[in-house]
Amino acid sequence: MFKLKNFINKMLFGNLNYLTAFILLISASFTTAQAIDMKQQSGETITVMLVSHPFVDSVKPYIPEFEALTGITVNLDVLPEGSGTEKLLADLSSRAGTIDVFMTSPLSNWQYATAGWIEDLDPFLENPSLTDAAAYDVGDFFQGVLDSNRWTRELLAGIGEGPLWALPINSESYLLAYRPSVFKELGIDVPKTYAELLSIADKLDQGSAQYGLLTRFDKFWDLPYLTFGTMLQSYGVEMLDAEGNLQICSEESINATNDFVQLIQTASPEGAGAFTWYESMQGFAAGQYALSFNEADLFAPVYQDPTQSEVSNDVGYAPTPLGPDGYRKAGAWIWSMSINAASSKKDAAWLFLSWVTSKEIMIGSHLGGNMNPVRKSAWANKDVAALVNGWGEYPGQYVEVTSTMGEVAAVRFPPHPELTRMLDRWAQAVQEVYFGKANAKEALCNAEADIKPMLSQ
Amino acid sequence: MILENRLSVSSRTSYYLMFAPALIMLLAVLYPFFQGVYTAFTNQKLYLESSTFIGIGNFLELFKNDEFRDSIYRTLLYTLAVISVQLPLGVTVAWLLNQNNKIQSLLRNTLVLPLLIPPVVAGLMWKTMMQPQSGILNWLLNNIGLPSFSWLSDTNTALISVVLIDTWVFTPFAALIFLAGLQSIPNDMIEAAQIDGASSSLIFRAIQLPWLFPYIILVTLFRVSDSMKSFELFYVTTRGGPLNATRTLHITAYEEAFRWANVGRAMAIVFFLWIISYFLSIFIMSKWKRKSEN
Amino acid sequence: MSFLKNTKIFSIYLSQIFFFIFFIFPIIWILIMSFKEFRDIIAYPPRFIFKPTLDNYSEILFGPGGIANFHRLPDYVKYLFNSAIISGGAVLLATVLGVPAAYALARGNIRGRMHIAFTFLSFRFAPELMVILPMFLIYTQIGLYDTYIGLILAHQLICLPLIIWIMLSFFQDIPTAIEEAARVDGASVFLTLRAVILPIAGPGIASATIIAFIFSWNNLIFGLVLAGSDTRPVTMGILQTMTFDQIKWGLMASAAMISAVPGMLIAIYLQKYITRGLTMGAVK
Repeated sequence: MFKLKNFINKMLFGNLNYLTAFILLISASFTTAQAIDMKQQSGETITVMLVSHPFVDSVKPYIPEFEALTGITVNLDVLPEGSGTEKLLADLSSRAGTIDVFMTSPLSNWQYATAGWIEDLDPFLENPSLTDAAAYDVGDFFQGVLDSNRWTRELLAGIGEGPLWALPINSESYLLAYRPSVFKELGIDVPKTYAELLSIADKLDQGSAQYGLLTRFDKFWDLPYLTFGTMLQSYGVEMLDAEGNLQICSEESINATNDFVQLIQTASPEGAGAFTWYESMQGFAAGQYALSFNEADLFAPVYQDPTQSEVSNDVGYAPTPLGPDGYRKAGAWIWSMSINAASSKKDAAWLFLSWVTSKEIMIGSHLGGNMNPVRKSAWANKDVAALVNGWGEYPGQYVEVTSTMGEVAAVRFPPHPELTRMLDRWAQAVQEVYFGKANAKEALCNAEADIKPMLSQ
Repeated sequence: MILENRLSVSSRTSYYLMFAPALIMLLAVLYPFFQGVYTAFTNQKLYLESSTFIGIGNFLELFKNDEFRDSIYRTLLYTLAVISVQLPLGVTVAWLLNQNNKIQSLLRNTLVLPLLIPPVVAGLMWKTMMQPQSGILNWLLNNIGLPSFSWLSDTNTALISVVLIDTWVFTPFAALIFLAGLQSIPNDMIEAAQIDGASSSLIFRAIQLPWLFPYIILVTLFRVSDSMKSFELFYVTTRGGPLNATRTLHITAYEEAFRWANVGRAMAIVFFLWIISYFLSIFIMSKWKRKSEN
Repeated sequence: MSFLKNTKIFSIYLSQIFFFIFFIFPIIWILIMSFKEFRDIIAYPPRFIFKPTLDNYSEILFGPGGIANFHRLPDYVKYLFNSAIISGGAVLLATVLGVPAAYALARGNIRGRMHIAFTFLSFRFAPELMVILPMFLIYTQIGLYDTYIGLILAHQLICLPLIIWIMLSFFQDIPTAIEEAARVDGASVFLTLRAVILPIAGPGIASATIIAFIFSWNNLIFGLVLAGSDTRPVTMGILQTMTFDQIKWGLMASAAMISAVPGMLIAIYLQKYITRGLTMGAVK
């Protein structure tokens, strides 16, 4: 290295005096060959709060490695989503700083960033004594995924720009999971458009012998944001149009809502209006349903595991249907991790965060069930590729479907600290239609009227 | 029963000393409580540092809201249902346990078990059992020829289903207290009545039930205040759904605070809840006072 | 006459069996679930014949590797230990404070005693939500966060009103004859309480403490917000089996079963005192 640099210097700066050349030489080797000092925070203890998720189990085995490498002790706090949020909010809002690093998402971060509770991560990324830029390779992340964690803190605009509030650890999108054997028996193809799906809805449902369609449908924000949201977006509905007007009550939205409700009423059993995440996953894994609609690809590892599912030999994946105008768009959920602005151990926290999102650890986590990878190198890794290759009706089906979905999945909502409240209200309207308490137009327009004032708060 | 009507100074001091520590302990909680009350009169958001005092603004907004008024009604309905079921049931079970037959000890040992399961776990288990398509309850019903029941997933049956779960979890509490009460009735009283030829139902009506009265009041007080603020069961089974059918005051407050960051309004709801509980309890207590003065 | 009596006896037996089944069925269900693999648990129709597994218990107690790969005590066992300290300590403190308080309220002719008694009760009306956020802030500021003492104090909110009110009822049921005799003999109030009343009130104290213990043991919210990883109680351990995409039913069931054991042991132990009370029903 030394010799080469010497040579280049002589070639390029033949006329400069040797002292300058020497200085240039030294500084060049200094910045490129230097790795960071992993033990710089040795002796510290950090508290990491994670939401119960396959990610947690997949990284737990590596934590002792981290502790040995850095001398930092890691207190791992794992909590289920509801309680975890309570605890996190109590800590963040009181600025007590008992939690240093925590698992979050772009949606929650819109609130946290507004409140000033989270650290901007760019300075850490750019600090050569804390981050080995070459080894970490920020460019290895999918650009869109990384950028979804950027926000200028401008109301209703500015996603993708501004400070980096979190680093992604996985990205979930939505797809169809189906039972090839059932479809074969019924003589139907996996639907490519929503219209097709509606037309086979009747056939799909065979009563309690085999229910037709399954999706998550309780009255919370994830409905218009994620699963039903995928359908809405494919119908061309975005919450705010280019002029900043709400589209909740638009014609496309009404159509999508009516189609959705009809679908559920025809092909899903009673009680579908109360299905949570785990119930929809379990229902399909138990073999009770023919089609899982717009469900998270997160469930695939469970479906494929013979100790956990009855259908591990009989699962296929397909992209979500095309909307009436031939669009396919999908929601995206990007689990990420942030640093508490009130933490007194930010450097140690960063060492952990950059370690857990590094290439090697991420690959390890995917092999342990954390889907989907957010780094290009992870998809390319041969072990990961081998793992997911076998998923689906034929080899490679899962990868095909997820890359198709990956092209259209994005966070298409206006950033706002109170978005959750607005989406909850929207979800309630959809439920009202399902339970027959109102027709789609009424319910959605009422919701839009309620939501409008919330935008400017 | 009071021991002396005119206490000597040292006795009185002793009595004061006896409950003072307990009182001090609980007064320490008053500070957070009052902070909560104060927040109810502000527009405090979770993610903002400052807030302004808005007087009864939160309350006015809440009462204008249909949803909120419905949730008051729902919470009261729930509490009423719980009391109407668990009091008679608790007395019945206690009476059954008080019989000296062979099965009684089996029942008694079982009675503690539901209490040992945390309400959250009990809620989840019952939720699974009540799942219309895959739960064991409907499977059993179908096997004996009855139609499936929609349990927690229909707006009309959800609240009742939660009452059922609550009954399973908390009737043992009532029954155990009533049992202790029944067993503290002096035996000679019962024996005397039996010698006089009284039937067991007469004994029940004339001796046991009146004796249990203060215990019934006790259990009512506890169950009323607990049901009014019941949260874990609702959260874990339905989170207020389907479509608000089980959305009680406490659930609403929780959502306002932790999902929508409006702490001011959440505290207003919770404070209101506290006031209702307070007045309900005073009312119940007054029944006790009147009865015990007879 | 005999026919009626037999019907009565029969219906008593029937009712007892009915309630027995009602209360024990879910418990048996949870117990069975703790020995099932996930796919057996979610199977429909419900699977009663299955290959039982001890994996759930082994994972909860020894970690995912089982007893062979045991290198560090899994969190769950620590949580059990924490709960024992917290609930045991809370009930102890509440008994020491509460029994005398109840006695004073029952016997002492103190002005406004029912008002004071009611005040104790009114602390139970406050939904935890109301106090938990300010309490968290205070706790972190004065260093009580994640400490056993902090949690024991917080749990007084649960245990103290219970113990005071249950004991109040009991004390009011005990006729004053013996105490009066003791007082006439010159015994102080404290001595009367200790030597005369406590032995008689045994069953009441037993019931009160076990109920208070159970409510404290099962409490979730204080353990969630006011405890960190050092003092986290067992209810949180059970909750951790709920992951984002699924509930690990098998683990949850085994965790719940293990968590129920201390309460069961205490209940069995205290049963003796409650039944002894039967013979002491008559105070002579």
